[in-house]
Amino acid sequence: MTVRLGRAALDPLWEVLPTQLPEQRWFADKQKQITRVEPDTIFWLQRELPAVLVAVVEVTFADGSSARYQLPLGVRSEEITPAPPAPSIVARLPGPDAAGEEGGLWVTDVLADPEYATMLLERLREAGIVTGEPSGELRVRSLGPEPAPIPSPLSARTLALEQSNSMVVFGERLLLKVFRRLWPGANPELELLEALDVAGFSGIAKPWLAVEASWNGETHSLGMLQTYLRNGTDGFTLALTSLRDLQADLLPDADGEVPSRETCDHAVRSQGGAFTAASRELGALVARMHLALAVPHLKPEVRARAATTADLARARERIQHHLEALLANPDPRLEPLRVSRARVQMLLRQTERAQPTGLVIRIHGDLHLGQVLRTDDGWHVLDFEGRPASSIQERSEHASPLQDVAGMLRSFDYAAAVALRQQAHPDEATARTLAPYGRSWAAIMRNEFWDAYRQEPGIDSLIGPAGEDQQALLALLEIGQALYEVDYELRTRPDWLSIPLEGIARLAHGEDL
Amino acid sequence: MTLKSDPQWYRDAVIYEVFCRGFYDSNGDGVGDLRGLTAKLDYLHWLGVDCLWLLPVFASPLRDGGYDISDFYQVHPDYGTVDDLRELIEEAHERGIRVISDLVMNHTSDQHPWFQEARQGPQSPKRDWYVWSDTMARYREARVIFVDSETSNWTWDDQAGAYYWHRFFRHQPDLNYDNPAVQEAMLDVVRFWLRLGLDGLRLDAVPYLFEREGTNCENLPETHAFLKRVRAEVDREFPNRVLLAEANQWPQDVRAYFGDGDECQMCFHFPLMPRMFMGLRQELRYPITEILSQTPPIPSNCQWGIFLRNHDELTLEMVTDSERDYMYAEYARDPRMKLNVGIRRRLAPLLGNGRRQMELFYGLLLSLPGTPILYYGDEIGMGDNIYVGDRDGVRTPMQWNGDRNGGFSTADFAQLYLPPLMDPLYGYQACNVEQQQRSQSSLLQWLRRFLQVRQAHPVFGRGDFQVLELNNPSVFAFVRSSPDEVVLSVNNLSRFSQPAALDLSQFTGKLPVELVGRVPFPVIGDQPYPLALGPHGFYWFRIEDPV
Repeated sequence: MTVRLGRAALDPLWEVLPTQLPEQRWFADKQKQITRVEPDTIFWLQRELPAVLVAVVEVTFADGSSARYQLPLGVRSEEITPAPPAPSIVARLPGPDAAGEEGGLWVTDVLADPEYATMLLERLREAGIVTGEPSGELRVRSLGPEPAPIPSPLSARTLALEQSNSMVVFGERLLLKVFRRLWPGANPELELLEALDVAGFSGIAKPWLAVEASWNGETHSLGMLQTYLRNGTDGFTLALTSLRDLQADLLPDADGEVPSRETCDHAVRSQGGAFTAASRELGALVARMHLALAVPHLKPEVRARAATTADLARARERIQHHLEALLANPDPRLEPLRVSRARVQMLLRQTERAQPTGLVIRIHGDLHLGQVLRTDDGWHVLDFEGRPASSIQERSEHASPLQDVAGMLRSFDYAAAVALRQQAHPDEATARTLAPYGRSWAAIMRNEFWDAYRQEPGIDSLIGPAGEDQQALLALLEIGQALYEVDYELRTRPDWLSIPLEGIARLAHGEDL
Repeated sequence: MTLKSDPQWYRDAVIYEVFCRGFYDSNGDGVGDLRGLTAKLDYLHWLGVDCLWLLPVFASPLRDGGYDISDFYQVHPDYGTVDDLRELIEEAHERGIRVISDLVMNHTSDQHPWFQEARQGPQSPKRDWYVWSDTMARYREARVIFVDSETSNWTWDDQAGAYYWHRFFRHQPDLNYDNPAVQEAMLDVVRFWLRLGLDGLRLDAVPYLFEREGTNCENLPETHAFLKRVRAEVDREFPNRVLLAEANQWPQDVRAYFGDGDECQMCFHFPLMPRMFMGLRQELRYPITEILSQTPPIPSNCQWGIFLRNHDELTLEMVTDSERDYMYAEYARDPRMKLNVGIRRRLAPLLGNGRRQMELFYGLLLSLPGTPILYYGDEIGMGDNIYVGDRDGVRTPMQWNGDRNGGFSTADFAQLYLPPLMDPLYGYQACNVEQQQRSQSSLLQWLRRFLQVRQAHPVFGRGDFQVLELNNPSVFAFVRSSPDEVVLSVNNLSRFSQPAALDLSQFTGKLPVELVGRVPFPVIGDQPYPLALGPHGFYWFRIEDPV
C-alpha cells in the first residue's frame, strides 16, 4: 500500500539537526553554537514513500543570530534494500503511525544519494509549481526557449568540490547546483548567467532551469540546472603546468648570478609549454563576456550604464579605506605596505582627477585563473557569485569591467609566485635564479592577456580610450585586488603574504605592463 | 596460416606502410623491389603486423614517388613485374598478412599515354579525359596544395594550346571524372588489381576528383557519388576488400567519405597526429581530447586509420594558424625541416630520440580508436635526412644490419637510390633491425610485445571510446569497451612523474589488471582511483571481476 507522509512524520528530524548540521561540509556556520532548528516551510515533491522533499529550515544560534538553509531530502522505508549510502544518511525516524508501519524511515540528503537525486530532478522538471506546507510556492523556471536536454535514463553522481553549495552531475551532461544557505532576493550568479545566455555568450555553463521559492513575501533562489562542463581543468592548474615546464629546464646559477630580463623573456617566449596562447584566448574571452554584459536588451538590474564620477569615487574610496584599515594594523609583516603607501596615495590622487569614461556593468567580481575552465570546447568562465568577502550589495553593484581584468592580471602574478614556492629546493640560490623567470612569465602573460582583451572589437566603448588614466585606474584596481589578497593571506597563509605585498610594491612603482 | 574470412578484418588490423623502393633490394641494383619485400615478409610476420600498405609500385617517371602513374597496368621495372606483385600477395597471404596498395585516382603522370594523346589537339579522342581551359580564370576558389612548388592549379601546355588542371604537381594532370569513359577506365583498373589479389586500395587524394565552378572543388557530391559506385562494384565482385580514403580534411568533413557505410570503409584521421605532438610538448591532454571530441561517430562497419608518421610531411593543414606556428617553432627549428604545410621528419627525431616518448606515442597509437598504421623504419626508431629534397628525407633505405649499405642492398654505395643514414645516432651502424632483434630491451622488441598484446584484445580495434574525467591535465585516460571486455588506458603526457585520481565510479568493485604483465591492481572502490605514472609512462588495464 502507498504511504503518504505528512509534516508530522518529520517532527523528530528537527531534533536531530542541531547535531547533524555542523557535520555537513556545506554548513557555513560551523563555528556557531546552534540552539534551535525549525522548519520554515516544506515543499513535497513526492509525498508517497519513497518520498522527496525540499525543507527550508531556520537555524537559530546561541548569539541570537539566525540563518536559513535548504535541505533536499529523501525518505524511504528501512525495509527497502539496499540501504542508502552511508554518507547520505541524515537521520533514522520512527515509521509513520497512521500507516501502522513497524519499520523506521531513513532520511537522506538526496544530493549525496544518487538514486534519489535522479528522483529529485525528475520531480522538479515535471513540477512547474509546488505549494509549500504550511505556505509558500516553489517554482521551476525554464531559462530559455529550448527545453533542458535531460538525458534518459538518468544517472547521477555527486561532485564533492565546493564548500558552500552542493552539486550533482546528471548523465555527464547536466549539473544541478543547489544553494545551501539561502538569501532573500535575486541570486547574482543566476542573474549574470541568464544575462550572458540571453546575450549569446557561450563561454559559460549554460543555465537551463532555475528553482526558486517564495514564502512570507520573500523570494529565494534554491538552485539551478546548468550544462556540465566535462573534462575541464581550471586555468590556475594549467598555468602551473606551464610554469613547471619552464622551471624544469632552469638550473640555479652556481655563481648566484641573476639572469637578465632578456634571457628570461627569451626562455618564456621559446617555451614548449608556454601559456601565451592561453593568455590571449582568456583576454579575448573576458572581453567578449564584458561585451555581452553590455548589450542593451538585458533586464534593467543587469543592464550596463555610463560610468559616473560617483562610480569611480566609490571604487577609490573602498580601496582607500581598505588600505587605511590595513595600515592601522600594527603587524610588522605589513611593513612593506607602509613603504608603498605614498605611491599608492599618489595613484589614488591621479585617478581622482580622471574623467569617468566608458561603462559600468555587472562584472564577474571574483575573476581569477581558478575561475576559468578549459574543456574540449575551449574556455569557460565559472562561479559568478562574486568575492566571498564582499557584501551581497557590493556583489551586485555595477562596476568597471577593468576590475575583472585586474583580478586576472593579479592571478598571473600569483601563479608565478606559487610555482616558485612549489619548487623542490626553495633555497636562496634557486629562488634567485628562478624568480626572474617567473616574473618574466607573469609579465608576458599579463601583457598577452591585456593586449588580447583590448584588441577585442568594441571594447573601447566599455573601458574608454587607452591612455594614462586607464593605466592608472587599472593599476589602482589591481592594488585593490591585492589588498584583498593581503587580508586573505594574513588570515590563512602568512607565509604567502609577500606575494600580494610585492605585487603592490611593483604596481605602485608602475612596473609591469 | 590462412586469412580469416571477415569482411571487417581492417578493424582489427595493424597496418605497416612500406616504401618498396627503400625496403630491400633483391637484385643489387640499388633500388628496393617487390622480390626484396617478399624476402622480408618473415620479418614483418615476426613483428606482428597483419596488413601491408604498399606505396605505389606502378609504372611511373617517379617525379612524385610513384604518385605520377604512367601506366595503371604495369609495375615499374625498378620494382619488378606484375607477377612479382602476385607472388608477394600470395606469400603474404600464406603468412596471414593482407596487402593493400595505393591507387592514384585523381590524376596521371603527364607521361601517361592518355595525356599524351589528349594534348595532341581538341579532336583527340582522349582530349576530354583531362580538364582543359583557355583561361586560368576557372575554379579560382580551389586552393593550391603544393604551395612550395606550384603557384596555380592551371598550367599552359604548348602542344595542346590550352591550360590543363592539376591539383598537385604540374606534371600530374587531373583526370576528368565528368567523362563516363574515365570513370569506366578507372573502374577497370580497380578490378584488375583486386583480381590479382590485393585486399584493398588506398585511394590517394580523393577529395579532388570533380571540379565545379563556385566551389573549392573539394568533397563535392559528385565525388561521393562516384566513390559509392566504386564501392558497390568492388563489393559485388570481390569479397573482404577495403577502400581507404586519403582525404586530408577535418574529421567532420572526412566523415562524408564513410557515406552510410557504403563508401570507403576507412579514412585517415589527419589532425590527430599533430595534436599528439602538441599535447606532448605542452604536457596537456587538451590538444588530443579536443580533436577527438570534434570527431563525429562513424558507421559501425567503418574505421579511422591513425598514424604517428607516414611517407609524407607531418601535415599541418588541419590545424589552426597559431597551432601551425607552434608546431613549426617546436618541431621544425631548422627551416629545412619544413615542407609545404608540414614538417618532413620521422618519428624518432621529432621526439628527440626519446625512448619513453616513443613508447608513449606507440601506446596511444595502439589504444586510441582506429586502426594503427606503422611507417617502415619507425619500429626501430630510424632517423631522417633533411638535406635531401622533397619528402625523400623520410624515405631513406631501411636499416637491416650494420653491414654495407645497412644490409639494404649489395649495390655500390653510389648506385643507391638514396644514401642510407650514417650518422652516429640514427645511422645503420647504431640503429638496425638485426641489432634490435638481438637486444631484448630494444624498441623493436618492445613494440613487438605491445602489438601482441593489442592483437589479443579486439576491443582495441572495435571498442567504444570514452575519455575519463581527471584532475590532472597532463594525464590522458580513456576507456575502450565492448560487450566482451573493457580496457582502460592511462597516459602521462608530462616528462615528470604525475599522480592521477581517476573517476572509475562506473567500475566500482572491479579489478584492474595490467595488460602486459597481467598484474592485478587494487580493487576499485567508491573513491577516485589513485595511480602514479612515471615520466611519459602509461598503463593498459583490463577491467575484470575480482576472483
